[in-house]
Amino acid sequence: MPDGKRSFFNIEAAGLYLDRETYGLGGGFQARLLGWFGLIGEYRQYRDKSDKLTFTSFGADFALFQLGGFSWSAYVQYSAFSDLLALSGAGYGTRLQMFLGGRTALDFRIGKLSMTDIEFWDYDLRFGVFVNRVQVFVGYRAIESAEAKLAGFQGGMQLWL
Amino acid sequence: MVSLPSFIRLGRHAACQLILQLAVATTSLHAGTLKDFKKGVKKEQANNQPAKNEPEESSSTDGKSESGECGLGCAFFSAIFSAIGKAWIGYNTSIYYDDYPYAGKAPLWATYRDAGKITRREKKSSSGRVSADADRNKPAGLADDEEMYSDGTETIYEFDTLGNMVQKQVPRYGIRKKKDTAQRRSSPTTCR
Repeated sequence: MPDGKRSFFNIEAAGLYLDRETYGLGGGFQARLLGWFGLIGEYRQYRDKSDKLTFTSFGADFALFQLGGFSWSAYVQYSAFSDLLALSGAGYGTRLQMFLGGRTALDFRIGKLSMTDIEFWDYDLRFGVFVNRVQVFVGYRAIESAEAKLAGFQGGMQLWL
Repeated sequence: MVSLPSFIRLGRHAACQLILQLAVATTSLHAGTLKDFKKGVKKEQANNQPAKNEPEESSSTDGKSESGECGLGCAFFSAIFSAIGKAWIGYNTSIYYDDYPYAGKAPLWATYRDAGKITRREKKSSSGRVSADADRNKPAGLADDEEMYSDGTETIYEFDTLGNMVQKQVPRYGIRKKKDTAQRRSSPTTCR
């Protein structure tokens, strides 16, 4: 089982459930390359009966503090909405990854997306169980501002290399 | 001191709490369609826009999203080139900000690199001589024997953000010959 220390790489596939008519699918990766520096990327496509909204982000992740089983990092990224809504901007935030033992892990990310004339809070909270190098996770994902909210449950698999 | 195993136990407890909270949180999930999300975004953008609205910009954003002319790759490179362009233009204008009428109005970011040390670009002629404009320490557009003076106030009319016409009093400036220069010219010259 990976412990999140030093260098690692993972890719994921995830699904989101927002409500009965709205769902999302996507993927992502996290590559901690030099022990302290890494690349992150995420792609989500939200759909309902008539519309499609795509969210993409790509950026860098910097480890602030690491122990075996514990990683605290900060990230900056380029983020964009496309299709139904064309918005782009910078994202930044912090991420806490804890490997709790007993093949379980907790991953919490909180940040802000600063786009044209609007700022979103970006939360990602997930709890996972490892089966060898595959983590099966469930959690909550939200991108929200004062007037707009895109939030729901997520679940998926993450392959750790 | 909190040991790592106890910290991990705390984390496990937090994870269980999290799952329970998630189960309860279903009522606060995304409500409405993606169009509602878009409406919310547009509404908040309109609220956050500065006093001077820029309808051209917002309408062009709409056009992009609906016509699909500018996809993700286009938006990505557009954002990068736009940022480079703004930085380039910002740099090249900030060094002239000691020119009238921008005197003393250097942009905020320019102050970070010590606005006091910003030097004006010297325009050299083909002969290599530095131009008089760059040499003299005064607003551009004024001759060496000219100066600006305050000439009372004048009334102007502007539209406010609601489209109403408002009346404003603003200072008026004029350009005149410097007094000492004028006196020197009027005084008789002596021949040696």
